[in-house]
Formats: sequence, C-alpha cells, structure tokens
Amino acid sequence: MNNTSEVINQILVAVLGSDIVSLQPDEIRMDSLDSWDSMRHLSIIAALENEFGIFIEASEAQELISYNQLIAFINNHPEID
Amino acid sequence: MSLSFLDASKIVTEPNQFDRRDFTLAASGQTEKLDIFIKACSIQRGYNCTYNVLPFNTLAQYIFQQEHIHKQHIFLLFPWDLVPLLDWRTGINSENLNFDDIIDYADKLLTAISTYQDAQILFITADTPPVTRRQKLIQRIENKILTLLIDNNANILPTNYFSLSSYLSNGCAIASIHLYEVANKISALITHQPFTTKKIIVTDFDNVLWKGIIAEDGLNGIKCDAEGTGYTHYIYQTFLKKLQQEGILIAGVTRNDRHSALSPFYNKLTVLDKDDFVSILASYNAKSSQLESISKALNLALDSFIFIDDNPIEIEEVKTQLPQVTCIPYPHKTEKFKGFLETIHSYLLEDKLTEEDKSRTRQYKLRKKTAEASNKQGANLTEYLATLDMSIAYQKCGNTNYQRALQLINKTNQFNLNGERLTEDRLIRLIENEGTSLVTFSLTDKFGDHGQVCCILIQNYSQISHFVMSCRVFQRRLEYAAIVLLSNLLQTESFKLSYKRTDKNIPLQTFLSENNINKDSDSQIILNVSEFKSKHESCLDLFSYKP
Repeated sequence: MNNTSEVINQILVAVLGSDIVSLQPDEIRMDSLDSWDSMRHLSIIAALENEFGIFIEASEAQELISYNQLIAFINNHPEID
Repeated sequence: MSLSFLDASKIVTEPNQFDRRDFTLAASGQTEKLDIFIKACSIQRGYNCTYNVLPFNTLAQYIFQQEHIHKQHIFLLFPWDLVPLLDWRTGINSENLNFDDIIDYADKLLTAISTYQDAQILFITADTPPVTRRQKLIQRIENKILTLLIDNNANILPTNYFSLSSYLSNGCAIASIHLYEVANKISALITHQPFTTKKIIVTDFDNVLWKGIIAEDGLNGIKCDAEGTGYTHYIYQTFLKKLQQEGILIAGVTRNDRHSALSPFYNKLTVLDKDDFVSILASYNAKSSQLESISKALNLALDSFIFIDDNPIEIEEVKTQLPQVTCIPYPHKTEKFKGFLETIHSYLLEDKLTEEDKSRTRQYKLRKKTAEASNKQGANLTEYLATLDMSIAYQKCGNTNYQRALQLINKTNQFNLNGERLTEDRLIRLIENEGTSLVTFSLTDKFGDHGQVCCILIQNYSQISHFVMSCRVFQRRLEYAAIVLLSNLLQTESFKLSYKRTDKNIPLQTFLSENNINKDSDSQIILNVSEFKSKHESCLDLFSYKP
C-alpha cells in the first residue's frame, strides 16, 4: 500500500469509524455507508486538504464520494508532490 | 509543533484523565473543521474541552442580546462580522458606504463583547470584496476597524488563514492548511496560557538566505540581491534583520564547511551581518543535533525555536527528532512567500519594543556558552525516505552523452572523491579506453525528477577515479544504491577508490567513515561490495530501479 492510500485510509477511519476497515475498497462509498453523511463528507474533504496541503473546489468535492475516487483524485493531483 | 488532521485524530482518541473546560466558540460561520484540532490542542495543554457553537450567521444577534455573558467565550471574527457590507456571501451590496455608520456599528459590537466576563477575540484579517471604487474610504475603514480591535485586545491573525473558496463552498472561512494554527490559538486563550511565543529563528543558509549552494556555486554563483532570482532571499534577509533588531534571536545551521558558510558575510554579499547571528553552526551532521546544541548553549527551551529550511528531508528530520520545535519550510514558489513570512510573524507576537529587546542578541552572545557543532545522530529517516517513492535510472555514457557527467565532475565539491577536475578532451579520451566506464545515475522521487545527480568514472575495470554526487540529493542514500548498481553493471566485487581529502569533501569523508574505510591518508582504498551490500541492504529497498 503506498503512502497516499495509507493516508486516505487513516482519514476515512478517523472520520467514519473503524468499521470500514473490514470493507473492500469498492464498498466504501457515500451512497452505501450510513456513517458517510454530508457533514462527515465535509470533514473528509477538510482532512484531505489539511493532510496534502491542497484546496479542493466544491465542484470537485461533490464528486469524491467513494474510496476509489479519493485515491484517483489525490494520485492525479498536480500540486501533490 | 504543528499538527496535521491525522496527528490530531491520534491525540483525541487516546484516553486521558484531564479535567474538562467548557466555553462558547462564537463565530458567524462554520467551525466544524476546527473541532478535532481544538480538542487535540487542548489535550496537549492538559485538559479536555467541550464547547458549544452558534447556529450559522447568528453571531451579531447573540452578541447584542448579551446571552450567557458569564460563560467563557472565544469570539472568532472576520471583517464582515464588524462590517456586514463586506461579507462575500451576500454579494456586492449596492448600499453606499457611510464611514461613521460603519464604525459606529463595529464599535457597538466590540463594546457588547467587552461586557462578557471572560471573552477573548480572535480576528482573521480576511480579504474583503471590492464593494466600492473609493479605495481611500476602504482603507480608512480597515485601519479604523483594526484600531478598534487592537484597543479591545483582539488577537489578530494573518490574511493567509482565510480561504475564500472554503467560505463560499461550505461557510468555513478558515483555510484547511491553517486549522491547527487557529485551533492552537483558541486552545491557548481558553486557559489564558500565553502563546508559545518563539524567541529564536534558526535558519538554513543554502537556497534560503541565498539562492544557490555556496560550496558548489561559489561567491559569484549565489544570489541574494534586490533583483532577479535572489530577490525573495534578499527580502527574507531584511525580514530577519528587522526581527533581530526587535529582539528575536537569529541562528544559522548549515550543511557546509565553516569557511564556505561564512564567506558570503565576509565578502559583504548579504544584508545580514555575521554578528546578527547569535550562533552559526556549520556541520554535515544532523540538524536536530545542532539545534539541541544551540538550545543548551543559550539555555533556551526548544519549544521557543522556529526552524526554517528548504529541504523537506531536513524539516522531517527535525520534526521527528524534536517535535517541540516549530518547523516552517522555506517556500520554493514566490506566490507562497508572503504567507511564509506571515506564518513566521504569527509565532512572534509582541506589541512592545524595549531597549532590552533591541540588544537581546548582544546579551545572549555575552552570556552564552559556545555552541559547538554536534555529531550526534539525528532521526532515523528510513521510514520517511520510504514514502518518497524514489526511483533510480542509470546509464553508461559514451562520447556523445557525457556532458552532464563532466559538469558534475567539474562543479561538485562536497560529495567528491578527490576534487580532481577533467577537461572535456581528457574525459573523451578516457571514455574511449577499454576498461573505462562512465556511469551516471538519475533520481526521481515524489518531489520530481532531479535529473542526473550522480556520476562515477571507473578506469581499469574497477578503479573509481571520480565519484561525485549533487548535494541536492544528499540524505537520500543514493550513494549506496549507486555503488551496488555499479557493481552489478560491471560484475565486480570490489572497487579501488582514488580518494583524496579536500577542504570541502567532508560529506564524502563521512561516507567513507560510515563504511569503516580508512581515509586518513590519500590513497587507493578498497571497497568490498559484498560487505558494503550486507551493511546497507535496507537502503537498497528505498529505491525502485529503472534499467
């Protein structure tokens, strides 16, 4: 597991709870988890911004609603070294 | 010590027996993002905090209704809380600005806050919308508001803590990368503990005080003038100079030999004088140990230190080894320069300047013990280096692609086997000899492509006549991987190194010492590759290899 996925995993566990550890990546989605509501979504986005030192536009944030999408976004972000 | 979100999460989830403190965080906007940081900072101060917040956009109503005035309050204010016409979220108001009405409202609001029994104000100097073309009016308003805030003992936080994008998208006006700083100030105010005001700035030299590397580029190659590529470094030096005159101690820690490190000062290339520094340590050993040495010599606690460096590996080493030191990376991009200076300022709050402040450097120099460069081992950075996704590529050079290797051989001073230079003609002739190999190594990591950064010239199949590496990639352990790759490429199990001590090749001397290679005499020395591999096996795992 590379550093990006490790950080994202830790963020999701911190915000959504340790129950997600037993889930497959494809199962970690906003539309399938009760714990991933709109307030927690804001917390996830804020945590990503803080950990990676970036700003995520609102239009981008609303698309980042699954684990895989978060990974792809961070890995492809031009400002993240 | 700065906390990231995950750092704060870890602190908050660990059990503790601290007492509870209760307060109201009164803000007009969203403050949810601050929560975990406020709790973590409070725990670090030895208490757990519970606090209530106000419903969105009800701050003014709350204040004027004088609710719960006996309870402790932290008022987190933005310009639009004092001048509602300046709120981005309501758009550009068509109402005309009336100076007297505006100031009267702001004054009334702050007066109402002052009636609270235990209230502290944090004001973030956010950018405001261009509500008028009357620039002088806006400036008068802003100046007057600032005066009112200062008169009410407000704590003023810098503009770069504000994020317009965040404010518009979710109502939280605080930039995510500055949540810790704001939360830390809130938590300090709750206990009336003063901010951990810093007393000393320890700065790196190369690519911080000046653009360039003094030991490589020389006096003519470094830049810190008020022009061109040296401009931000010039401004940085003037910034430090002013702080020093106001009582902040300035120290230097640099990976250089002392002569090289001081030569820009002796040659009057700098704004700062050598005497502006309370201490300068030039050493190739861990910077954390140099900071400890300064701390002991000056009898200053490490939590009063700010450390500034452009190298993320140095920053990480100090953060790991000395978490109480505040580390601020020197920005590579000019756009981040203002925020960088404001961040330093935010740790140096002082509103009075005394005669004692002005002479602080001299006082400390008189009473300090001499800080000596320490050779204590620094933090083990293997874990951090493993996150850099480092990749090495190597190529054997011929007589058409030797140019970068030639440049490295003739420019590099510090990691240089013997300091011997080659002319272009000589190198071409050598390459054409049987038994000669010129190999260059390129490095990429998560910070980017560093290009060809290391070069080894082997003659007679196993004699290394030149071994050089750019100082830009020090501490990544590339030199270990290069030797192993070379032995695989050339199918040799030992190398003879044509070593010669120079005034500047201390990093190379350190490399030899770490491998128990006797460098006391200039000579051919033998490096046994299998012994070398077995000792540095873990370093090899730090890299992926491209053919």
